[in-house]
Amino acid sequence: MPIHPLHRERLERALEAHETALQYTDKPLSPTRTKVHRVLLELGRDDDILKLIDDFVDSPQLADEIRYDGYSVLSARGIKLPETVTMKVVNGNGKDPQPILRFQFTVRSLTVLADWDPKSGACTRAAVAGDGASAA
Amino acid sequence: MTTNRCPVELELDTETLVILDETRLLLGFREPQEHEALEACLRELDLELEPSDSAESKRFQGEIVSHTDRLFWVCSSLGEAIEGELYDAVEAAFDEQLEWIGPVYHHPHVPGRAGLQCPLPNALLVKEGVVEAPLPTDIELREDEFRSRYLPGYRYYTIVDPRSHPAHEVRARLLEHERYDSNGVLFENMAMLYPYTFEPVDTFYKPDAATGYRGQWNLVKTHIAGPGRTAWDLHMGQGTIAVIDSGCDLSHSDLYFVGGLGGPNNIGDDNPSLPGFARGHGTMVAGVAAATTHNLKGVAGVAGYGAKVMPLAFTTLTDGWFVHLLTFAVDNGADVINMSFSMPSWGSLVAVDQALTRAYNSNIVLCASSGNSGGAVGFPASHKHVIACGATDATDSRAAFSSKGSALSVMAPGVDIPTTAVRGTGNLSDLDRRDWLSDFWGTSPAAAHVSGLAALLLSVDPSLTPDEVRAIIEGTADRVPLSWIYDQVSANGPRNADFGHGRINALDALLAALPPRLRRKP
Repeated sequence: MPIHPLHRERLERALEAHETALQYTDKPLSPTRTKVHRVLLELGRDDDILKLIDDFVDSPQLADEIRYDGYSVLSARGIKLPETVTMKVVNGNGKDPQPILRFQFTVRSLTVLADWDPKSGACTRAAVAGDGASAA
Repeated sequence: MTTNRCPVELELDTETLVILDETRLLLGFREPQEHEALEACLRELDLELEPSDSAESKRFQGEIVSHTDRLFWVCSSLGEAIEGELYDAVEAAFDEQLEWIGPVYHHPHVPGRAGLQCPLPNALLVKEGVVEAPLPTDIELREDEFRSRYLPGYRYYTIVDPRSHPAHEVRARLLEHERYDSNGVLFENMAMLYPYTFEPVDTFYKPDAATGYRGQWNLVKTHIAGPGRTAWDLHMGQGTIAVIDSGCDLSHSDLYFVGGLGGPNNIGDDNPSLPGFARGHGTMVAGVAAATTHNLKGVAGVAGYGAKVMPLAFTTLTDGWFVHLLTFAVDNGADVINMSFSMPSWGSLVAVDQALTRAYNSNIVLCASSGNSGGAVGFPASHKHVIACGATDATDSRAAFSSKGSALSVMAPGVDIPTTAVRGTGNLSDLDRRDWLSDFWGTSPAAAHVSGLAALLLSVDPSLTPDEVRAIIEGTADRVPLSWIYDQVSANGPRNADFGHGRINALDALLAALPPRLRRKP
């Protein structure tokens, strides 16, 4: 089962907002925020990454492969992540922890997490100390 | 009158010598003080509260002063020494309200205000093993055994009358005795600046003076987020909050939903079957409780960092659907159920009572709005297992519409609350999307605050029962306004019919939930 249509719609809505932010002329963004928007757009608009997520959503085997050697998975698919972005699988929190595909990057002092939870879709946020999802 | 006779140099221990900052004091009051009244009184003396980083003043970026409701750092507006007549005038101005006046010292190796601290005048740590030596007979010292228990090697003493005999004087007397040395009798030092303070980077968190937008004052007021030390410095939320309401905007970029896409009958943007609910009501409630926090856009929700929303929508407003949605929440892993509506006619129905009781027995915390009629608390808020939430405003006054009575549990902000809105229907625009709202009001957002706080508490300690969560939230609520009398007795502390146990205080609630479970004395 590929990415659920509603999750795709939510992603598209978020990506459009990032694009709009970069087009502002009357309210210039800080260099840090500009970089964050750009990297998130690069990730979200990359068809190969979306295909990887498509496969990740219903393939525990792929999740294990990424846990073991994410670099090889990316190489085999010809995916080149934006500069400074890393990818890994983490365990979600809660009573029934599910694997989450996490893209992570840092701009100056801000570390950004872009998570894909197969059940809930995309969620991006800045990292905090003791962040919820634990590394697998 | 006692003039300031603190030593200019003070040896804290054999390694640390600090220097008196004569232009500053720490005032310790017996009771909580209103900021505005205190500031007015200080102005008369050419003094002011030590300023923190704020929207108005960017001068002290990132520096948050550790004022509490009883302890206030003050400084001379003119940069003059506070001594002699001025010191006496401070004592006279506050008279019996003052418990003590603390001197402020500067650590010579720590630059700026970060090096300022106050050796508290009412406390001393005395090394174990030398306490058998004679203590001064004319000064009353009491050992705080609870504090001593967690200070291996030392015993913690409070000075009963620190205004007559401040700690530095008592310590000097003790050091005259040969059995004491500098490391054997220590001060308890309070730092002027907080070491940390978490403020989310969400766009609408901070006020905007240019537009008059007040920011998420509700999170600051309830000590959820900074400035200052707040709940989020201790813990960020997780867990699942079921929002039984009109449904949610399922593609909203500032809300994070549980898997399963929202449960039964969640049609997303809006619910035409429920004209009685404000348009997008469920989306607004969900945002207050759990908008995704620290994500560089929109608003922050009380439990929003790792929390998810389970949006459960009525198809028709029947008791049968209510039971159905409660059951769905129980069976699908909700930790908290938020019910921001009032249906008094369902109060006597056996099936509804059973469904609420089943949720309670399943260790789910139930929160509901008290109602917006200004009359008696509605249902389900009045159910014995439900935390009934009323609404306060930015001044901690009860909102006139907020229903009240013996079933009222606590208050939370419910006027001009920023939150998420259905796509394009809000009045706040971020990233060119009008998906947020600045002025959600009612006891609905108040209940959502309490639901978010319950989720925070459960993420600190998942073993808490609904009764324990209620006890913590009620027992740590701030009894506001200060002029209001809380004259009714309950197992969880004083209460009254208008404010219940008071307005929620998330920091104190989390402190009470963290082990060891310290409960604030009533």
